[in-house]
Amino acid sequence: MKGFSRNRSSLIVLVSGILLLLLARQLPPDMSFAQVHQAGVLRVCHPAQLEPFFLRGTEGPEGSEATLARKIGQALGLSVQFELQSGWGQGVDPVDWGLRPGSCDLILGGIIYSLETRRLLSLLPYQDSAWVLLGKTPKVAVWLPFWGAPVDLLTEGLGPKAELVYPESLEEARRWLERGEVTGLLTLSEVANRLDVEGRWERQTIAPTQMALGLWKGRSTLKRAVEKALAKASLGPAP
Amino acid sequence: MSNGFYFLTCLYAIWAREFKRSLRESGQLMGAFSRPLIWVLVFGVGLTPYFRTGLRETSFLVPFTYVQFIFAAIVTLNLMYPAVQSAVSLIYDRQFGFFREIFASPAPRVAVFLGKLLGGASVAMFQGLLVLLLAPFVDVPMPWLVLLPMLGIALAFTALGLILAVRLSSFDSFGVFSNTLILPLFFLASSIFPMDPSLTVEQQQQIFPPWLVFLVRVNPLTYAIDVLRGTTIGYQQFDPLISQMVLWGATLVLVVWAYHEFRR
Repeated sequence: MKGFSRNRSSLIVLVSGILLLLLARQLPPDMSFAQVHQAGVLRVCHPAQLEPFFLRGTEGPEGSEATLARKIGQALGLSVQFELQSGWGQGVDPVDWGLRPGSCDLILGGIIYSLETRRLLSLLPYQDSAWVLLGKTPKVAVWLPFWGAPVDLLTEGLGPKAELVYPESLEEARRWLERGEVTGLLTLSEVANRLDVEGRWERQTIAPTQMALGLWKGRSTLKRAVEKALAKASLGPAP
Repeated sequence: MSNGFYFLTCLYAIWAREFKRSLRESGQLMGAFSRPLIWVLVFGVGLTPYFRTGLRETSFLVPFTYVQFIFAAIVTLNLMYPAVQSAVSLIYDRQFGFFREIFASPAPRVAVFLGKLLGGASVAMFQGLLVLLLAPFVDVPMPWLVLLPMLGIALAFTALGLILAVRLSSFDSFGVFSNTLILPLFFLASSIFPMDPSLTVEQQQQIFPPWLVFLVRVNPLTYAIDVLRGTTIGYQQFDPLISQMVLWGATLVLVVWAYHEFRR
């Protein structure tokens, strides 16, 4: 009893300190989700066309990531406003693409979970993917317009004898492959799935990767909310 | 009683005395809670938006937010203070004659030294672990492996505190020394500002003044925090192997040096 009263003040400090720390971690570290929630709109920035993730549709963008964005919006109870970023992919440096925190809450468009993209954005991986070679070497069309794609690493991985050609569009790559103008196509597995539904070409997985959606760094509460919504969205039907 | 058992009993007695005494110091405990709260909630949350809001606003492209970057340093700060402060008890014990009695007893000096060292390190670990309670607040993962560099830092700074305490005779001078040591070491450890690892030393010297780059790079604590950062947010500014070697090398040197001073 004597020992207890001697240690009472320390015990009080210890218990109240731990409670204070536990309470502090419940605080929102920022107001990003509150602001989006108040606006009632989730602004999704995306590139103009990136098959199969974003396609032009009659009623707004279509494609797997456009659907994902709508599912996230639905799970968060927000309407989705797509913000086309026409500068996306125009130039090597993403800093010049025109993406701004003021106009985007969520950034989607074939983003690869990599060190490069992690340096610029706060990422939430949502799907496992892979780099594949559809067909074979030596003449390979390279279709890697994905933010964060390790282009040099992947093309070097094809070996010194590989002859690389770069199509202007996926349609051109498809044409080259079908006409036999190239022997293979280096791209993402999602693209390969879309091009080769019938399994006409042999397929070689080069390396695994992950698709991710991006948020601005420091928007922790929005990221947590999107993470929860993503878990719901991946199970639920498209709105 | 066998020698080994007697050794462990002595070690445990000194360790338990250190640990219990620190828990009874409510002022020290308050510091253990207030430091992480102020650094994370005020400093970290307050400065995060200025460092990382968009693509154009960033100078250093690193895969974390500002508060995540400084989190490992805040853990280190909560390890450093109690570790160095625990050595104050050595001056206290010396002044009040406790150590005269201990050294007059057959208690092995190594056991007494290890009791003090591990006692101080345990107090530091306890206070360092309190910071980890805030890890979910800043979305910093905390694998069990984080305990290893924390232990290294705790041991190194307890040893440093013991070296200081052995050489100093009063509490006042110890307080001044510990503060003039802890704060410069902490701020010169790339704790609150990152040095872009993609830059060479020459490039860093174009952004930061050369004397600052030099002081950061010769500070062993820089590498200790780097290891801690590597295990938490998976980001290291320096070669991971070199950082590990500096952390454990400095710990070993300080512990051996502290034992040497303690024996005198």
